Amino acid sequence: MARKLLLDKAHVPGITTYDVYRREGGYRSVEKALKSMSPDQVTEEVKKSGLRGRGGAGFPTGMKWGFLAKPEGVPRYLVVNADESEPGTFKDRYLMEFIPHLLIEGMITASYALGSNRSYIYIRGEYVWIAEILENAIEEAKANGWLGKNIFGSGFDCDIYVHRGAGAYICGEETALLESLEGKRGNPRIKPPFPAVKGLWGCPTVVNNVETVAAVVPIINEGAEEYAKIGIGKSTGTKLISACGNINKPGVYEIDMTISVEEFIYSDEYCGGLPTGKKLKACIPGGSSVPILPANLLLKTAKGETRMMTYESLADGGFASGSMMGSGGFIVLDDSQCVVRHTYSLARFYRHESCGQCSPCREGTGWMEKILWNIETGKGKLSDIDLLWDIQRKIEGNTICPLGDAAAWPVAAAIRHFRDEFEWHVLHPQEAQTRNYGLMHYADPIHVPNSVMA
Amino acid sequence: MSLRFSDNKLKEVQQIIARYPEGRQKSALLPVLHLAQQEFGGWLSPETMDYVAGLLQLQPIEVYEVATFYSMYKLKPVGKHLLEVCQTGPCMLNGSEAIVDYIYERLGIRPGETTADGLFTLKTVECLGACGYAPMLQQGKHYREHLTREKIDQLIASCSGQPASAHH
Amino acid sequence: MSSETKNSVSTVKLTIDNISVEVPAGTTVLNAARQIGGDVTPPAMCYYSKLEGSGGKCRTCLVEVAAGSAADPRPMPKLVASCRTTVMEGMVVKNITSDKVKDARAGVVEFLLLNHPLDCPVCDQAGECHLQDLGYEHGKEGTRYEFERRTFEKEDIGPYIQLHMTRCILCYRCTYVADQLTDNRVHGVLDRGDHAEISTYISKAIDNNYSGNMIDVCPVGALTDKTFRFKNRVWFTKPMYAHRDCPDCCGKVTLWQRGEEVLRVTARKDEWGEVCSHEGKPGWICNTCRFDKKAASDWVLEGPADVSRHSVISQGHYTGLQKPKETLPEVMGGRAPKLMMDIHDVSEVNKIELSQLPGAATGNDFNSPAAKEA
Ligand SMILES: Cc1cc2nc3c(=O)[nH]c(=O)nc-3n(C[C@H](O)[C@H](O)[C@H](O)COP(=O)(O)O)c2cc1C
Ligand code: SF4
Ligand code: SF4
Ligand code: FES
Ligand code: FES
Repeated sequence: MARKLLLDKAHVPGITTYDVYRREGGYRSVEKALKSMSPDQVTEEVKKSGLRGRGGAGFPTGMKWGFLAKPEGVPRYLVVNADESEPGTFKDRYLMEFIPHLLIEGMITASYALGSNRSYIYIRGEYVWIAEILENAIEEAKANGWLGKNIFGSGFDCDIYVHRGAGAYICGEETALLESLEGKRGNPRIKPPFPAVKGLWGCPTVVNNVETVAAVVPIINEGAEEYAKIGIGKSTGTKLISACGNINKPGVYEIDMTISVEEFIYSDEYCGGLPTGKKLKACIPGGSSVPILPANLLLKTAKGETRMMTYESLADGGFASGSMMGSGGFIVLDDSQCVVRHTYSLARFYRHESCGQCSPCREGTGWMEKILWNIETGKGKLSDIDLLWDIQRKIEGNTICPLGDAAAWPVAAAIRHFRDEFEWHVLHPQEAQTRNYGLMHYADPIHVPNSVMA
Repeated sequence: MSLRFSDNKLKEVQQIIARYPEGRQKSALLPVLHLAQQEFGGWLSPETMDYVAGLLQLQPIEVYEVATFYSMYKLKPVGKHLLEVCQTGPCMLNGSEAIVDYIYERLGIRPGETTADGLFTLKTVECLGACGYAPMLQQGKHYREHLTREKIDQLIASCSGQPASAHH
Repeated sequence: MSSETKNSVSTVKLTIDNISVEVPAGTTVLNAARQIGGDVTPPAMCYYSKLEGSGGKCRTCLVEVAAGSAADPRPMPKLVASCRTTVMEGMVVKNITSDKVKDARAGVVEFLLLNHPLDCPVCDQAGECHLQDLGYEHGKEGTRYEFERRTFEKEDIGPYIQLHMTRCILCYRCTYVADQLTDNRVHGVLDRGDHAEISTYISKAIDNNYSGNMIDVCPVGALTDKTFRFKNRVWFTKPMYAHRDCPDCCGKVTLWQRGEEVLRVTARKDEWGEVCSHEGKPGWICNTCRFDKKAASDWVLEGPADVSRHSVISQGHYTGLQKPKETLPEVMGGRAPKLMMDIHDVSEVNKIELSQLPGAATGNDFNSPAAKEA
């Protein structure tokens, strides 16, 4: 059984209430930080833990906190990113729904480290009931003295507010999120300046993912060294993975980053394998934006090494033969699925979610969607495949924010690894309507050991 | 008709504004628009938006710009029950297209359409963060997950049975 | 020159396409390139030095930074928007000497033209349209887009300004004008993604004494002058500098005349297509000067206007009827713009025998049934 640091108590009955949470050892990290540590010591501890941002980019959290500008007399803000809109990702929701006080606790400690007296949770608008759960938790925490003025005589003031978005994936991008929090359209800002210097209302701001902030709790409680012992290399601690698609046990799993992809998919502790009779065709291991991998490159790297569920191993091979940890949205496709259709659906998503500010993304995403629809419905040409490649290439890296890249990568990876499937659609327009291309060489070539079979 | 929040709701607006530092009441725009949509018929008419602009001391265009950006704000009237089926990849892998088809079979509406009695509007939406519980749809405040034909039947029955009263 | 380069004391040296230039610290790469001029200046469709916050959106001005600075000579991993990137001592910038830039820019041009109606024959902006120029200079021939172009519902925004949303490239300049020059903005960018549009949402008249400047900043024909009499093709009109003693604005304008008639009044433009500055202040003009003073007697004529870089390029293109005088090489610093994107193909402008028309061509000539048959 893997070590759990975030969700170990998530299923204790009544854990959403303050009393039970506190009885189970909740808010110890706040006590420890406020009573025995300086804000810089907390930041130092987070640095030493090796914690990397859980929102997608994997940027070292302690380093990010260290960049925060601290001009005299200017407020600083912590904003928690609970926008969670990347297809395949539903881990933050799980954490907030089942153990909301963990996020509040982490926020108080993080706010103390950063000197934020007013911290916000930006939650996607559709999570109406979760916003209510969080507001209750905040109220309870405040009633028990963990929020408000001069918390436990420490001289530190802190309040937390929930701000609901209103339906826009782009507001997960941190500067679009800040615009949205300021009551504007979610147009990403042109950087520099970075939020660490000019963020919310022009003040220095740190934006962190829900899971990142929650991870501060075990780091402070157990100490950075203990935390860093878990995992491999620069992938320290535990990671929430939300698994979905064609698997027996979709859901949110907390893994320590020492297990293999194969174990994650086939072991009963996690996804429980694919439905009977289905074979693994492909997987998008880190949310819709990261490259899709065919089964044979997923379970083993191009070098033939076992692929592990770590930042480094998932990225092994670069974009040529690897992918990314991303947001931990693990999407599995079995052999009855069509990669072209799936890629089309993602292209439609990015077209729908582009803010429309910059021309490559605004125009390119819609163009790719239309071409993919043509190919999927038997109206495509072979030259369309090269055209798609050229369009994604001209979007990538040329836009204001990474949504452009996020729209380009899935298309690029699908063509890179499944080109013959695209060609088959073009060459067999009738057949493509009635049946799937099938597995060809993609299928999981690896014998699945009985020990981990569902 | 000149529209106005009830005194209770006006108090709620004041509480929302108080979440932000002084002079930053524009930040209250998203939450107040949610409130207005809920109070004034499930959608945002120009009149509603102008009212919100007045409350927050904004130019009306600032409200229009925001309201048209976010997919949760409805700019046209919708049926009493808005069914928003997620159609993105992970849900598609688990049969979201069949759900849309089945709703058509039952109610005769395609995405974007409303039943003649004004009871149901069907929409397709993008990933709602429930991919592991697919296929799914959002109905007002609620997520309906692990959808099957039976569940759709139940949903339609329970909605049709209710008297047509205020929005939630 | 932009205000950002004033007041600064220290200067910074950098090279752009191997040409050294020294500019005040805080200058953007684009403005440094404008000091050199000519080919090394990246095209800018959204940036406008007189509008705060503008730039960064269209991506036509992307350049490669081969060395970030003398202190940190590492190259920047991605192309950067030169209009929003500040110069550093020892920076090495590549514009037309970078294949990456040329490739990306051709892509951006293609994206910008993707949904553009290419209705140049009936567009009042033809001849002074920055998108046309961009297409000729940086685009590739033909379009690879096989889908129907985006359309929008027509919106009436009052008696002075005509909005053709299909031509808009969403540079946001007009919204900055409304924010920065007028006291209440009634139009903005609505919706998002590829549906984003310039609109007032409620078909409100845009009515403010400085609103006409939106027409001058619009790089394409999305916002045009409704009072432009006879909708004349701009290259049949004669631009003249003129001024009047205006209580409101600088009163320094360009009159677009045919014979003695004043067909249109605009602000004066500099070589980058921006409103000229007079005594250090941007020469925005008021609506009274622009829309109401349409008699030659309202104005004191100064003489023929400097031919701006943009209209010259376009004249060079529409040579079917009269050859423009060969100022091209002079103005262009020796470079000859090449026709790379054949708008004729699409717009069918060549199907009309301009020299057969009795007078100057107007939009109607291109709309008439005869024109369609031709
Ligand atoms: C288009 C886009 C969407 C994003 N969505 C999210 C999101 O939903 N949640 C999130 O935490 N980060 C998201 N991010 C990443 C954030 O910009 C940011 O990097 C992150 O919140 C930083 O937190 P971390 O360092 O704790 O990961 C998104 C980025 C992009 C470009
Ligand atoms: S890349 Fe797309 S989402 Fe990001 S700023 Fe540009 S248009 Fe908006
Ligand atoms: S109307 Fe003109 S100025 Fe305004 S955004 Fe569109 S192109 Fe730019
Ligand atoms: S794909 Fe449907 S909820 Fe995520
Ligand atoms: S001019 Fe620089 S991005 Fe448009």
